Amino acid sequence: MRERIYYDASAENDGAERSMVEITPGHFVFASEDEIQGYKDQAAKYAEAEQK
Amino acid sequence: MAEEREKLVQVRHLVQTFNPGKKSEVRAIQDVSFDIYRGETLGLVGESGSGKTTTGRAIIRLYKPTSGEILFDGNDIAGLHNGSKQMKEFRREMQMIFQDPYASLNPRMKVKDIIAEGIDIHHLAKDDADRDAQVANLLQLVGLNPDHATRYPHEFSGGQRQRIGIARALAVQPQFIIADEPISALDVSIQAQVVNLLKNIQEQRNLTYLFIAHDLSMVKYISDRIAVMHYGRIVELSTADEVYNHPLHPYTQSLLSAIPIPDPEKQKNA
Repeated sequence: MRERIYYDASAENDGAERSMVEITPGHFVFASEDEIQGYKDQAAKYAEAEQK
Repeated sequence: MAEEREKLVQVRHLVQTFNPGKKSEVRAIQDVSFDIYRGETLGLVGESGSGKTTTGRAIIRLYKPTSGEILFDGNDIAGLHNGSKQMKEFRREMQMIFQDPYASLNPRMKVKDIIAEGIDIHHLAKDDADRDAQVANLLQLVGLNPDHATRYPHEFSGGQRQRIGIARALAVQPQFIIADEPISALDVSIQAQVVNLLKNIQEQRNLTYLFIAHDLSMVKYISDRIAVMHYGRIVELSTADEVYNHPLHPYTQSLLSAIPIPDPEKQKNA
């Protein structure tokens, strides 16, 4: 079933420094140090799902 | 791979602030950096007010950037002054197609004069016959009848007017075109025709596009890479397939989840 995702922009007001980080080759995301690993894990999940 | 290709446009730490220091200060673009490779289409998406149009207008120098660098073919154009010789030369290389085909054409000018304005400014025609021939070729290129060159904009439909806007942009033989929501004001039935026209012309003339839109599904169709903007910043940038199929930033995921699915069964369950 389709799920609508709502984005809470206040999450960006945590005072953390953010910059564009290359998560996978050629795929950049605006992220803080703490968020990078989460994005890498998500990219790994996408890759895993594609292999199945 | 895109990374091995030549960079035509390089935007570095671009900041655009309106009314700086005043109560009404607006930070429209906050430290945006990206490259556009020669021959590619970079899609720029985001909701209204995210800074897409301001980014496009700053790159083409309709606005003077507050800070940052804009390199076009290796030359910094951020500091060029209006009216300077360098600015005039640069204006020939970069053109814009506007969102509203009704407001962007002068209603008092004939189509041939609208299209030939750039030709006249840059002295690209040998004589009147050459000017008319160039206009006729451009009208044909965008799928309009050359015999309509003496008509006025109000005599055309929205889709036809946007084709006139495209012909005007192509008249000075630019390398780079910024298309600012060029299909948003058109009927859905006409949108695909205009997008396909832009794609065909890009192949014929090896053009580079910055395609600004808020409709992610249309952007995916035309773009090689997509940059997602939110609150004046780029939050995600990758190939069109990656952004569409493997979105990482929660804002991109939110945008994608809002795209209508043309399937009644899924729509019912949404």
